[in-house]
Amino acid sequence: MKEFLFFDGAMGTMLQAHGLKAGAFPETYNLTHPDVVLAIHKAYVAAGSDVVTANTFGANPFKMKGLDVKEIITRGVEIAKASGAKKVALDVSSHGALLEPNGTLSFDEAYENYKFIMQTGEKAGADLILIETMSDLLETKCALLAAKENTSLPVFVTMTYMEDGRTFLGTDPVTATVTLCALGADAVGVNCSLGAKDMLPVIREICAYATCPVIVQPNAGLPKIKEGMTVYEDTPDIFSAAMKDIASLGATILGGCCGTTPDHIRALKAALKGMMPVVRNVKPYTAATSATKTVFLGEGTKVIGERLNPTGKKKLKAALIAGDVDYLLHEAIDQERAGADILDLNVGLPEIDEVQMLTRVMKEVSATVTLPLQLDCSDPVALERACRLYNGKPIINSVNMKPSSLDAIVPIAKKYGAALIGLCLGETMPKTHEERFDYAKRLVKELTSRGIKKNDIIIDCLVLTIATDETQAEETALAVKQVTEELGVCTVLGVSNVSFGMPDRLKINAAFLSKCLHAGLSAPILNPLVAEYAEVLKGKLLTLDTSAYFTFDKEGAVGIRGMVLCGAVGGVEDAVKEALKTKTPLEIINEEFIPALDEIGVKFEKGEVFLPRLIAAAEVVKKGMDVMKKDGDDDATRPDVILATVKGDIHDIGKNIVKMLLRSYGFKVLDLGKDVPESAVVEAWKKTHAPLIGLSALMTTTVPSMKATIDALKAAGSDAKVAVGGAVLTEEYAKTVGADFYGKDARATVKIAESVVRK
Amino acid sequence: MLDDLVIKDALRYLGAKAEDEQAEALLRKVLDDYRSVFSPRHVTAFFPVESTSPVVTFSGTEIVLEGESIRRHFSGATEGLFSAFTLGIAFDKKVRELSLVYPTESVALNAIGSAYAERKADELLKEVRLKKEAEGFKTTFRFCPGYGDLPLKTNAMIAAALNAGKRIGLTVTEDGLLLPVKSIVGVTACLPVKE
Repeated sequence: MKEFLFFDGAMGTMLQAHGLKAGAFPETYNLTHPDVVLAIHKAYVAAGSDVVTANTFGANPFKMKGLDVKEIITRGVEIAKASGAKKVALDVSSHGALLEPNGTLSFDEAYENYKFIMQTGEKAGADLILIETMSDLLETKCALLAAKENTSLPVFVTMTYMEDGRTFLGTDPVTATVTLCALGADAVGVNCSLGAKDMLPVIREICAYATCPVIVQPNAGLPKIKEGMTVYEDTPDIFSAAMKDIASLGATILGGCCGTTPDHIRALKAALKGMMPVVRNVKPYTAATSATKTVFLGEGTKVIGERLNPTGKKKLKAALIAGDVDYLLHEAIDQERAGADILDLNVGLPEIDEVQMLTRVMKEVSATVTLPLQLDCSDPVALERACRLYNGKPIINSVNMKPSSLDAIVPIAKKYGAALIGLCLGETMPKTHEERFDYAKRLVKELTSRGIKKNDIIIDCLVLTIATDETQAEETALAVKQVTEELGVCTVLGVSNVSFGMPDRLKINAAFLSKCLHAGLSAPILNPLVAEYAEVLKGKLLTLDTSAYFTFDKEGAVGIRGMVLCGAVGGVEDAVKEALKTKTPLEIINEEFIPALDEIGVKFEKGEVFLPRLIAAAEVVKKGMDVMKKDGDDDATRPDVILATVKGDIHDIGKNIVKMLLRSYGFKVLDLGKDVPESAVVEAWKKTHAPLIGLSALMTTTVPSMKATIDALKAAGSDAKVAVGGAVLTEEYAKTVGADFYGKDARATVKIAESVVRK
Repeated sequence: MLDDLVIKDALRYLGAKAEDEQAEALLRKVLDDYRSVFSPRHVTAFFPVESTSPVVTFSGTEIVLEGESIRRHFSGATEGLFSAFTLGIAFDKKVRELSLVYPTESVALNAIGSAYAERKADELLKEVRLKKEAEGFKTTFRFCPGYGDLPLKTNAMIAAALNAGKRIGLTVTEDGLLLPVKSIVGVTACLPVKE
């Protein structure tokens, strides 16, 4: 701002001096004593106020039942305009009741009241809106949204803080400033509270984080009781001297609150004469807030608790279905006590109404713990509602480079000022760090072009399990390093995904965490209750040579069967060629490959060997089968099994493992790929009449696509059996979507294929 | 001293015997552990009695006290000392959090909160009352909406006259209940002592 903007001082205490009774509505004077109100405004204009504040502070249909609030607001603005002031502010404040869940007033009811007030004020001719003396951050957000969504006026917002530097509801100035700036306030600051001198620490904090002009309107000192009356003792000289200090911190919009008079404003203007507004340089920050806390990412490691997510958690899933929110609150408290800084919240389950449930759980968790939340949801309706009612600035998890994702998620993040996780994913799944970095770069470019601030973007470099590709840990860590150093944005990672299907999961996770933290990771998403992570989070360097998991004892690699059991790829081709001299291909399959695969399969089921070993065995078989494969052997024309990852889902690692194992067992497989529309599956069945169709989905959000595909197959008259599988699937979901079988893992799917195809 | 009284009261609220050592130890622990969530604040104001019949009114305010019991309470009084007290919202949040993880502590803290609020509000009010008594007045006990036939809706009137929302963060629901939960609104009658 080039010049200071001067507001007026108190109205209420001035009216009391004119005979207003304690507890009566000062705003009724707009109707009964317009001349008194006008005289006060004029006195402020004469003292040098650029903006006078209409006498509408408490004019709210919630408080003034039975009064003509519309008329009171309209007259209030008109009287203020008649004062000759350059600008008139519509004055808006709290309902005087607590919003849910602290109190009983609903967000929607409060919003409707504010909407009415804002629209009435704009229609009456107000030039700007001042939302002031606020204690409840959620109510403040509600008022700000009502102003922004229903008027075209600038909106200034001030909260009131006590001696402990917090509002009555516990909000600190940094949290209020970060949240309100993110929501698009045109000025933020403080009013009422203490005297000007005592406000300096609060204003210093506001000035350090406000990305818009800072407004300050203090009382004339702390209220004192003298002879039964409330009095404010700061003289115009004391007040203006302190206000000069406030201006030198960078506040540019100045005025007074309770106890201040036109003389205070006159003294303020005189004190600032010749002084230029201080230009503040606010360092960009990446932050999330709750009602009472701000967490800055990129300053030390911040832990995001992963436990409020039903994927792979039976008890949580059951609690969500039963509507047992207490169970989730318990999990939230445990994570907070274990040192989490932020909590991820995901309630996506096919059985529940996510729109209703996400907001319900969000509200309850926010009321119980003090941590900011990361809303983990891909349903735009559910996400929008939760962001709207969230008390603070949330993180949204997540958006990716798919146009459908960008179009659905970005507008929500922008409107509610959320920090936004960009997941390195799009039409394809990145494998190398270069591919990940490329996605990150494109995400930053795309999101900023759509109006998201760069510092609000957090990149998730995508963690894939090392079980299927040992290099994934290293590639992800390299990507984190590159994104941190070259793009300068914060990063998150879902750490535990790295060890999916592996033994010693915690050991692998902890080592991977260590690697990523040293690469510059800002915030791991993990289970904060796991002791193994604690040391690493404190900075302990852990290394782990995972190659041991991928090198198998070759001692027993004798014969084809031994080679399969040991995962010894080299030599299998020659061994098969040799065997073909005495056996038919079918005999080799039945006598060598299948018994070996069965043996390793049983060990896998018992947890004696893990995914890498199973995959290695399948690879050996594939090499051997290739030797026997004749020209013309075609999986596509007469397949036994059609496989597809359903529409909306591009996770195909699991499906590919199933494919590999099925082929090892000699089944002909037609793989339709990932993100496959229902029609493509139907078409494939019509052409081939394969007896078994396998559908895969990793995300809860794509389970409905599974049902749609099965419905489409039935509608097309398909008699093929359908098996479904994937991380979120359960026996029960399989039934819900109408599948014939549930393939718990690749091994189970082989058994299903045997029962269907070779019956 | 205040702590001992608070624990004694809380034991009574919990229905425990005064010599129940286990309960006392729990209450003492809870008081020590969670004292940081108490942020007691109060606000008071005197208003001269305007009339005591048929309802009690005060000049300079719009407060109207209805009912036979408050009328009797104000018999002979010339001023009303209005007061509002709250323990703050952080207390409510802590009770809710504890109810999920340590339900016993939650119940104990709730009892402690009630006892503490009463004792602390009395202590704060006592200073004001003593000053008034030094000026030649006798002051009655604090009479709260809900006592006798004084309606709960009176809470809102008193809170408004004291500007308690802005001054101490006290709110009143449409049904006349106070939030934060551990809050007290009341009025003390001031009677001139006859020479």
